[in-house]
Amino acid sequence: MAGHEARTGLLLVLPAALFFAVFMLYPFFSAFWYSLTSWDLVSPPRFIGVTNYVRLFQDDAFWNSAKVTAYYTVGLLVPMLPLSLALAMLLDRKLRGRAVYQAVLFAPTVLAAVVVSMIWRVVYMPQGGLYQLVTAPFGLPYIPWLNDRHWAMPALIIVGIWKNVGYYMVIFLAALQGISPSFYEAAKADGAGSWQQFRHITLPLLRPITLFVAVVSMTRAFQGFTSAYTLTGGGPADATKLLPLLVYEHAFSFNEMGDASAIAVIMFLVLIVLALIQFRTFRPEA
Amino acid sequence: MRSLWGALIHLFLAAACATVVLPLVWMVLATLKTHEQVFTQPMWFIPAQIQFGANIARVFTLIPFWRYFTNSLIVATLITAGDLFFSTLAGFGLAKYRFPGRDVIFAVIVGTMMIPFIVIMIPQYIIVRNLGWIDTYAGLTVPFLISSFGIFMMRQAFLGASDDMIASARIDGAHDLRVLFQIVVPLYVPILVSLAILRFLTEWDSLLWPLVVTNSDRMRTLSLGLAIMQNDRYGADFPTLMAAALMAIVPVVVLYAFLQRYFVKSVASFGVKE
Repeated sequence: MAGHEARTGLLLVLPAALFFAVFMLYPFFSAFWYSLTSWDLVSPPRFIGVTNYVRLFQDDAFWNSAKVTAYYTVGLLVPMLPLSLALAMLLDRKLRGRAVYQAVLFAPTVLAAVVVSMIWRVVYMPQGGLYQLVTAPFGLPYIPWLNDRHWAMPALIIVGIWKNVGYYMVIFLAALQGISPSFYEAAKADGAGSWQQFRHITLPLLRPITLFVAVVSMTRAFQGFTSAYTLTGGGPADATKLLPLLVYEHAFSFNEMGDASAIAVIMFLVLIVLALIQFRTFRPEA
Repeated sequence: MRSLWGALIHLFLAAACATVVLPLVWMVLATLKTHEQVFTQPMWFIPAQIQFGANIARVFTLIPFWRYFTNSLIVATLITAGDLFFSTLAGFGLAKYRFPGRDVIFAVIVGTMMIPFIVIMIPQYIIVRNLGWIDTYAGLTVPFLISSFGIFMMRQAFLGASDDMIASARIDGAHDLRVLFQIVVPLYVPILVSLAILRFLTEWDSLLWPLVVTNSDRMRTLSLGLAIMQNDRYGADFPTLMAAALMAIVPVVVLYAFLQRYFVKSVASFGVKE
């Protein structure tokens, strides 16, 4: 009987286990190997040690993309996460029209990112764009958005917030609704005001979900590709050339699989370090 | 004081919703005009001769829209179906059977969630190339057929399945797979629906992999086709571009209108700790 159980269990898991070995683990370790080679896909890969890494660290284009990626990630998360928490808290109460607000705010989440980029192309268009229409009556200056190397990144960040804020709002909202009202009642009985309740009840109880949201949103932003690829193509003057665009360019425009893999491996290592820092910051208080 | 606070909340939420809706209104307005009108008239102006039909028609002359659409549908459906099936099998095996190596396999599968796609993209491309799958549905789907997230979700769900129920079904002579698919799975339809929605949306959205692994126009997915359309020649042809965007959005918005609750629940389910 025990033999039957072990055999059946193994058979059930086997397809997935094989799949993960072939399409996740093997590629994962290959990436490290490729990053130590020079490989143009024509002749076989040639081992060159850490040359790719050394070259990258001396390469201005790499540092530019690293900076651009950091800018995008921080610029996106710092306004978006507090905003999504604020929206969730506003919706976590009896409120007329609550379902409608939630449905509308979540809607961009289900739209494909490429289509979102198409729509924002028109919002940002140089003459008569939506932004201009809304701001001109208030005398605000004209902004060239996608065509200006200082404004292109804020433009992408705005699209990112527009598309994703509802997603994190819904996650925060589910967590808020999981907090027992008795906590707040006890705090009120002790004379705690709204801010104290938020500071000493809501925030500590949201720690695990904040950790989850922080790690997930960072990982996604760090790998941002679609809006930069479609709206700016990495420009103007490489001002929005996020690291994934650089990887893509090295691999599939220059046929430098080694260089491209080295960039990807560096991204992985940075992500792991950042995730560990977040685990330390947000781990539940003992 | 209290009602003022209430009014402020409504004002803030309404402003947020307006920010979401305005670009979509803008898209629809652009589809009503000619190319010149977009640049010469204020966007709120609705022309006497509405160009909507002409703009939609032009989309079909510029790109094989239905081909892209069908490709996306095929790819997203195959991956979603594969993930549901294999994650159910593996999740059940990991939750309800004891066998040597089980916990290691589970730990490794969960661990792969930390591997960003960008790291495995190039090696996966090499594998697909070696298999001769460039520009095929196999190349587009097989590397994504099972997700660690799906297995994790199903395994956590099945942990809660009643052992007594499973044991008594077995005593009645039901085979393991019959127990799973006829007795256990029907109890977990909501979580399977959540997984299906998340997976389908992710794959429908996907751009980078189709970009890497296809090279002929007839294998492009909708996201890729539209990305190339706007990057190529038609980036400034706003009425046609917006007509294409509208056609891509309508099916999704209609589905969302009917299934909104499930969409939201599928994302919210992250927040609920097992």
